[in-house]
Amino acid sequence: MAELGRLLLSPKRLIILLMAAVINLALFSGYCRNQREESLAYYQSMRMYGMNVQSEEYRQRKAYLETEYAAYLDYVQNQSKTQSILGSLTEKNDFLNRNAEKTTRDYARLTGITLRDGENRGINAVRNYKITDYLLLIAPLLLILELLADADTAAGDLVRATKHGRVPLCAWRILAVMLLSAASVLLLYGGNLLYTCKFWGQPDFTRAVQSIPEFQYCVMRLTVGGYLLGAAALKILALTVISLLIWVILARMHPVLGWTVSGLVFGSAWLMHRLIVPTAGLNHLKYLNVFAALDADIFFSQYCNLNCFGRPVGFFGAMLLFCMILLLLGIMLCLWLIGYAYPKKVGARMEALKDRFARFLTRHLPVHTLLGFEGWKLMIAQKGMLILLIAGVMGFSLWQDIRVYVPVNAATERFYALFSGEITREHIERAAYIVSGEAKSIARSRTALARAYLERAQTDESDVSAMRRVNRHISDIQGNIQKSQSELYYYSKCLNTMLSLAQYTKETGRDAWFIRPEAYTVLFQDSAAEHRCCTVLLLYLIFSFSGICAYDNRYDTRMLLRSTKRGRLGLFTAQTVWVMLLTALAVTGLHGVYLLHMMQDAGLESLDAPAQSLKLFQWIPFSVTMRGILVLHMLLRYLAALAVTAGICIVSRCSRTPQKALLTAMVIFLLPSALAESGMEQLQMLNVIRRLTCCLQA
Amino acid sequence: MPNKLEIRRLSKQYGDFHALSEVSFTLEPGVTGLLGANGAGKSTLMKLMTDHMPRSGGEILWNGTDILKMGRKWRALVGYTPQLQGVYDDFTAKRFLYYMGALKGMPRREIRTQTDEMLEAVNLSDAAHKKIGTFSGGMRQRVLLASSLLGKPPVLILDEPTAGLDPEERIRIRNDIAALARDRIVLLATHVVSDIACIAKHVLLIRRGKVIAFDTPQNLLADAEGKIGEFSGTYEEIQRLQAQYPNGEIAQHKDGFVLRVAENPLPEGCMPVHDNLTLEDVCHLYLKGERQYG
Repeated sequence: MAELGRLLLSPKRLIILLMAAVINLALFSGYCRNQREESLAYYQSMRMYGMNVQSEEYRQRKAYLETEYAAYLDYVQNQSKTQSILGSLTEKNDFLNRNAEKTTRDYARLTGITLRDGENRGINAVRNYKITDYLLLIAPLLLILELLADADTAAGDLVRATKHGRVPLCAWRILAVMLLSAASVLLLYGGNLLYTCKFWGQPDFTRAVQSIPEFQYCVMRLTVGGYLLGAAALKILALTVISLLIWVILARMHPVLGWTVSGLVFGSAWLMHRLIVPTAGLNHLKYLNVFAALDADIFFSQYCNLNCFGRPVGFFGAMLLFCMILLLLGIMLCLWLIGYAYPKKVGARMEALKDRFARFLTRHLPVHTLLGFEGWKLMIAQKGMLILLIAGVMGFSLWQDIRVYVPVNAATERFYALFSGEITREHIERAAYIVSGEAKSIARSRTALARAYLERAQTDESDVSAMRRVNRHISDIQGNIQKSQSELYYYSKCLNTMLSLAQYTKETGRDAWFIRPEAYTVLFQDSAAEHRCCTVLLLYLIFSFSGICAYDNRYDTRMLLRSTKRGRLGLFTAQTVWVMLLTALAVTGLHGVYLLHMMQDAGLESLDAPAQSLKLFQWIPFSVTMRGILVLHMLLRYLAALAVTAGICIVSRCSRTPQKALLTAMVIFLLPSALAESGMEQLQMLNVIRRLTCCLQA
Repeated sequence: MPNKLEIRRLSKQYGDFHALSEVSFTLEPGVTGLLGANGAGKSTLMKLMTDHMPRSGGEILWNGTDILKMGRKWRALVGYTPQLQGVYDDFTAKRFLYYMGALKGMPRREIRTQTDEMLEAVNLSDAAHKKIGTFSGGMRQRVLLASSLLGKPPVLILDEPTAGLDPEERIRIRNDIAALARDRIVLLATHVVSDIACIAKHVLLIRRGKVIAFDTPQNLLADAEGKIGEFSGTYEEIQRLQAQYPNGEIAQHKDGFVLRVAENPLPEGCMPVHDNLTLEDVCHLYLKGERQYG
């Protein structure tokens, strides 16, 4: 019991849990706000084209709840019966027949189920945000690493020499891993749910889970709350299994071999879960998988029976059995190999191999310069390469996740296509001609409408076909007038912009072109997508640079370094060069993600146009192109990132160990930012993420 | 003209506490053993000599020039082994020495050749490609010693360089230091008096931030003559006497037990020792009543 308290209630553990929750909150709140902003931008841009997507979505949801789901249940029953009849005639495939029967039975349980509408966005956000699943692993894995490190010290031998220092202690530690997994899930997953309740409003947890269209294929009679509890339980199970198995592997193998084996085992399991399609013949490997259990959601939103020697077995039950067996195996292996057996000594053969590799590196990758060594310290010794790789993966996932919608209608697009570029007299005249032509067209349509009304008045009301023809004619003309009026409005707006820009050029002598401002407006304004990129950037900066000086402070190595000729300014310069290089790489990479989206999705163009073409930049007293502005904006972001990095480096300089520096940097830079991002307005002043975005418009 | 490192009225104050008070001495080529109790000011002195902290007063002159004015030129002349084993666990021994060579501004070829030489000198050639994290305390200490010798600096400041070494290694390192010290200034702080007994040209004794003795071992031993004596008797008698002289050292001889004391003047009944005086006795004489010196 004391061991449980020592492991779970230590300030270090609580801080790790809290920090994992803070990282998760920062990332998840950005995701939720981005989802909402994207939806709004999408609705708005569709409205520009005369489509009301929002009401269409509402109509579809209503139809699903009222008729479509019941129809789907009937369809499944009929399909299964047909399949069953066909199967009994052919008698070729036992599995198909049994599967049809089982499907009928499974779906029959749902007959009479009542669906209710409610707030689904929060639940869907919690379901779809997969990064939390990987963040859940932080706390249990750090505990495992700490236990392994303890075992290698004299304290490990001391503990094993006591009466309860072997199997009983190991049992308590297994329980600690389980409880920590549970705490991790409750804190992070529960945190996500609470945030969505605040952000989108509380969903009705008591309605059937099938009320959410994404759970149409779920055959369990569950409420939304039941689904959430079930998913959480599965995640706890998966986390415990993963942690225990990694513990056993690392405890019994050389660290290099252990990590390689763990990477291969869990990497291939993850790939199988991600890459195998549900209908594949080898779908057992997809579903009988710890990562499927960690995902949890698929067992509630999909329906699948596995072919088990010709018999259909529900994938949920099979996975549960598989994970329980793995859990038991993990517990037994831990008790036997970690608690009972003698500790494994470092293998001489593996050590020799490691020495040979180190010799190879020294010979073929010789580093002799201070800059090279500082790079080695930062990228290899402090795992900077791994951090960069993770940031790259997160940046790539953002690239896939972010969608940019620019609200521009067809009329404006046409006008831009015709007149984008330098404003000339000819362009203005042609634009004015188009506007006046549109006005004349409206006038002509009005005359035609008046004539049509007159014709209707003169038509015999009893002549139904004639009346219908005239009415259709009137309706067509009205539609044309409405369309022309809308176009005239947008054309006039564009013409006015052209004229005001021409006036500006005349008054100031500085060039101003007619360009599409919408994409630039979206680019320079404060957006959740940008905040998401900056959250990843901040996390990268904290994880990458918090150890830069603290690494030298450990064991007072700095004193030794400072006693050398180049151990002061030389060392500082080399570290600064690396910090500047890596920050530049991160800034261009992560902001580049958004910029590329703008180029591709939003049609960011006219990069050679003068910056004064946008009202936002008309105050700039010198000539600069939009490309120049983008470069300057990137530079501004780089400087902001450098300022934050400098702060992190100062924290690192004042910390005794890299771990302490990391935690302090997170408390100073990430915690207030994450809270401010999740809606705590009082902390906006301390919001580093907002500063990193360098938005030019609110 | 041989190099000279002159310390003049050097002081260091932490608030009201005087860690060093107007310390003055001059170091010349050869080993100078630095002895003092814990907290006497040895590490402070070494930190000031390697310019790790600002001094409160005084001067440190290298051939007449203040080391603060010399800056990196001074640091290029110094090899330093700190007391704490400040080495990177993730580096191999060879890579760490390469790194130190780069920090010392040595040319690449020199770094390579000298690293191999130094690893050989400290008997670490076989472990050159092993991570320092896997090393014992003694091995770490040898890596640090090798790093301070890189670049063959004319001044070596060694803070307990033999701590954690086994007797054989200790003798080997001691001999290496003696060989190196022929044309170098070596300041060696240690709590094992035997480490400096046979190689030190001078001994510097510090007590509560003040230099209480700085002389050759011969002079110090001569000075101690008549102040070191022994009581002989049964074990019970010697135990009773030790209550009076708690710093006295009990030893067992073939004729019985003796209690060796350092007092000036020697107490009644105590037989002065003439023949086998050691530096250990000198330390007892000057540093008695202090905590563990070294």
